This record gives sequence, C-alpha cells and structure tokens, in this order.
Amino acid sequence: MIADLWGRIQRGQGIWPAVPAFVFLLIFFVVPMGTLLSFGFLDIERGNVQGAEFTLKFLTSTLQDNLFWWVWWKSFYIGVLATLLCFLLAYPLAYLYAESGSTMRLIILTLTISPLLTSAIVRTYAWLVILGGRRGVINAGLLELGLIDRPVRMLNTDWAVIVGMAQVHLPFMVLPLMTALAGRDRNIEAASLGLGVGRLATFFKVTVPLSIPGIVAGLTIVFALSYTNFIIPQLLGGGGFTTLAVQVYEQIVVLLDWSKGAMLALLLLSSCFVFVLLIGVAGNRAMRWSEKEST
Amino acid sequence: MIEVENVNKYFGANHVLQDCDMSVGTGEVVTLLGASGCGKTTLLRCIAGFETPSAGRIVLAGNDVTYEPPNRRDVGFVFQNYALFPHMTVAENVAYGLKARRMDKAGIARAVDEILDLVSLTDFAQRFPKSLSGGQQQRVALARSLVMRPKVLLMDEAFSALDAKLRSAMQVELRKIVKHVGITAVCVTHDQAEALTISDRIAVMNAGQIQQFATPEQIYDKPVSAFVADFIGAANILPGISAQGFAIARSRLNGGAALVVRPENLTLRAGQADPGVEGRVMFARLTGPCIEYEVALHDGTLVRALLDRDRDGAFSVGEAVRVDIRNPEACIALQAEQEGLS
Repeated sequence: MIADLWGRIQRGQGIWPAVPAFVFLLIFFVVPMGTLLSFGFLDIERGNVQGAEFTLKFLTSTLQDNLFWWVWWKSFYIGVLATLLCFLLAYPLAYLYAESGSTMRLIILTLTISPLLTSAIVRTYAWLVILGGRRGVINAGLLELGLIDRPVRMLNTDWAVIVGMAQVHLPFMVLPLMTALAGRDRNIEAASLGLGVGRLATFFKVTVPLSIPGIVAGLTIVFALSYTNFIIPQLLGGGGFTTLAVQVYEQIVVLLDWSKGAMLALLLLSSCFVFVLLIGVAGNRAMRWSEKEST
Repeated sequence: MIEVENVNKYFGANHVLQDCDMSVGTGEVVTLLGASGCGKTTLLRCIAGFETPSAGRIVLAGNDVTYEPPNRRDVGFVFQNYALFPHMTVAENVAYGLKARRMDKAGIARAVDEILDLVSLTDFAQRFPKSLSGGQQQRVALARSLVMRPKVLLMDEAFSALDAKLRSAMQVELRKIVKHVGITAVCVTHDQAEALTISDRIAVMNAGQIQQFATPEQIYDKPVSAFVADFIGAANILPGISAQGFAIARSRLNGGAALVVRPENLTLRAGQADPGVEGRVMFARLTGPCIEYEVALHDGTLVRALLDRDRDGAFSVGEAVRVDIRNPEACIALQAEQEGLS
C-alpha cells in the first residue's frame, strides 16, 4: 500500500484529492493529540506546561504500578467479552437480513441504525432503568412473578458493563456483517449442499469463512470502541468500577494530573492499536486465499 | 437414466415449463438448447433438485426423486460461475464432498490425484481458485463433481464465461472427459455450436416447451418447426408463395406453408437464364473460406446464400443474379402450424 502511494506520488498522480482532509486532520487532530500525549513525558508543575522538562518517570512509574496492570486487564477483558457478545448477537441478525426480502431488509436495517439517532449516553441511561435496583424493569418483573424474593444485583457489575457495551455497539458489528453476508454468492452454498454436505455444516464450512472480511471489520470496530469507552463503565459499573479509559478521564478532569492522564491515554491508544493490528493480521491469515498468487 | 415426465413449473402466474418430456439414456450427453428465458435452466435445476416441479415427475435411475433434495439425488452440478470454494485449494475443493462421505484419508488422496490427473490439473492442486484461469477453474468444478462418481452430471452454461477460442477447446475436452468416464450428462446452453459439439442429442426449447429432442444431425436436417430451423444453423424460411418460384423444389413443398432452405443449399449464377429465380445481391460478407450474400428475390423476400469463394466465384453488390436450390432433398417443408415464429 505504501509502495503504491509512493509510486503515485513519483508519477505525479492524484494524491491531491486527499490533501484537504489530510491538512484538516493534521491541524485539528494529529497536532492536538500529539500535544496532549507529549504531556506524558513532561514534568508539569501546577499546570504550567511552559518550561516543563522531559522525563520518563511517568512511563516507568505507570508500568511498574500493579494497579495499572490490574486496570488494563479489566479494560481488556471487558472489551473482549463485550465484542464477543456483540458478535454472537449480530451474526444471526445480519444473516436474517441477508436471507430476507427487500421489505424485511429495510425494516431490519432501519431498526439496526435507529439507535444511532440517539446519544450513547441516553441509551446507557436506559440500561439503568432496566437493570437498576428493586424498581428496575427486570428485578421488578421477577419479584412480581415470585421467581425471586430479593432483588438480584445487576447494576454495578462487570456484566452490566459488558451487556451495555454490546448493545450500544451492536450497529457497528451488524452493518459490516450485513454487507458481507448479503453480497455472497449463494451458488457456492448450493454447491456444498449438492456435494452432500448438510445445511448446518455448510453454514460453518462455507458461509462463515466467506464472511471473514465482515467479521474482521466488525470485531475491529467494536473492540476499539469497547476498549476505550469510558461512559458505559462509569454509568453501569458504579463508583468503584474502573477501566483505563475511566482512569484517563479521572486523572485529567478530576485530579488535574495531566502527565499521568496523558501517559495512560498514550498506553491505552497504543495498546488499542496493537490489538486492532493483531485482529487484522489474524484476519489476513484466514484470508490468504483471496490473495492473487503469481501464476 | 433420466426420465422427465410431463414436468410443469409455474413461478407465480408464469408458466415457465410446459409439459416437458424427455428420456436420457445411460452414458448419453444431452443439451438443453434455447434462448434466455426459455426455461432450460429451470428444467436443469428441476433435475438437480434446486427447484421442485409444480407438476410431473423426475426419475433418476429408476427412483422417483421429484421431491428429493439435491444431496439425495446422486447428481453432480457444475454452475455457470463454477461456484468453487474460494477459501479452499484445488485439492480441498475436490476432496470436500468425499470428506463429507467420511471416506478414509488415503482413499480421498487417491481419488483426488486420479481426478486431477484426468482434468490435467495435478500441478495446481495446492493453488487457490482465484489464481487460476477461467478454463482451469472450470476443470476444477468438473473434477469436484466427477470425483463423487455421480450417476448424472448437470452443467449450467458451463462455458459461457470463457473466451471464444478457449471455449471451443474446452468443449472438445469436456466431451472427451465425459465420454471417457462414461457418465450421463445434461448441459444447458444458448450456444448452438456448443450444443452441436458436445451432445449426443439436443433438446431445443422455446417458451417453456421442448420443441424437438433429437440428434444434432436430425435437428439440422429435419427441423420440426421454423423456430428450430432458425435456431440451429442459419436458415431461410421461404413462404410458400416464394418457394413456388423454384421449379426444382415445388414437389418438396407439397402444399406446405413454408420451405426451409439452408444458406449453403442456395446457388447464385450471373445472368437471367432459367432455371431459378431472379434476384439482386444486396450485401456480401466474407466469413473466411466462404462469402455470405444477402439476396433480394424478385418478390422482395430476402434470402441468405453461403457460397464457396473458390468454387462459386464472387458476385458484387447490386449485381442481378439467378438464385436456385442445389439439393431439393435437403429442403424441409413446414406445415402452417409448424411455421410458428417466422
């Protein structure tokens, strides 16, 4: 890809269309982001950035802090479980979409996208109503039916956060899967059936492998969103619940410790990047067949 | 081996197959030939089990399979776009169905080697389909079907994705392979040259009906309708009144409504002398060793005549000529109800 780009530049061909977006992102994203992240390497006294000295002490102290690793692990496993739950919910929905007629497709698509019309915060608050205390919808219902005699603790647990994330991020998983499944060649499945392989086996041996591009896109987007989300853990996880993203928010906005916050943000960002890269590499390995071999 | 008995198929109000009857013998290669939308692919899919007839029966090797799913019919199907498994190598594609049969590993390996050798793809066993040419992909699809040793091989427009030169080479190749294996095969095509190359018998279809089911020679020499005459090879369908002008063919017409005369069965002579019919050359087209002339007869009917350049000489556009029929025995009279579409 880089070689392609370099070739285009050398031939004097169109990188110009990309220049406005590039300049815009440089000024309003890369520079401020770089500035913020650089605070992680500056010893800032009383909010005075000017004249602060370069230091690695925030990096070393953070990496040596057991609490940091514990929080990292929590962020990671919440992100992974939320992504997997989201995938398990999204795949059948996307499959149903791909198998439906045009009216049904429109309905599913509209319902899938409609949550995006409200803010994620509003949707997360809705989970408070569903999961919260004695009067939460689920507990109230179970109590009313006499299935339980004391409210079950649902809010302020890991699973509240995981379920909330899976729901809020569902559209980002469903959309790429829909594209991959709706565009597939059904004759390939017919060929599998014709060779004596049953419907279920055909689904796992043919349909799923051929939807890998959609799976990789969905997993990447939803993991990145879940791993770095700080609103849902704060609202559904309760006061003591913390992830790296929550820590960044607290260090910078509440404790005003910019250096520590910037270092955590840098570690969050770079580790997220590594995981996204790993998903991509795994996807590429599973997709070796799509590369053109030299003939 | 295959009995298609009175099969009808409706898609909503569309009557796409009408009373189709066909009987294919063991080891025979049959082609369903027709223009797009004539129902040929639907009939093939009914035989394969991808569609169920609205009425009628499909019998394979003595078993009524009308309502059986494709995987219980013992048929191999080669799709128009081959439908190879893109995420599997050539060898894995071929082994796929055998694995589902729980054949032992050594047996699978042997069967795969054998069939890849038959279709000359041994060197490509470890390649993925995407890196193969169209002709190679088609042979993989063929091998994947044949390795299952089905009773019947069904092929849907299997050559249409290939370029012209490769297509005719592959048609010859296919006929050799199929005859070598001795399998019963039904192919679908809209290409008459393909049908003539690969078939023992051809079923010419039009508007959901099988118009004629016969050997290529019979279809060419004795078409039962104007449609068939026109579809296979080129044909001049002379209305009775024009045909009367050819003294030599009057007895052949025998009260029929029209006379089918192949372009190669017409001769042109310079000058005005009898026998024959007056005409004027309107257009000439070189087709290699032959020239195809479009000639307007004196009554305005346009006919095409295919003449050998060396044997018959050349005529120029606008030239007045006498048109005559070489061999009246090769002309076919059509009765009024057979004239149909002309």
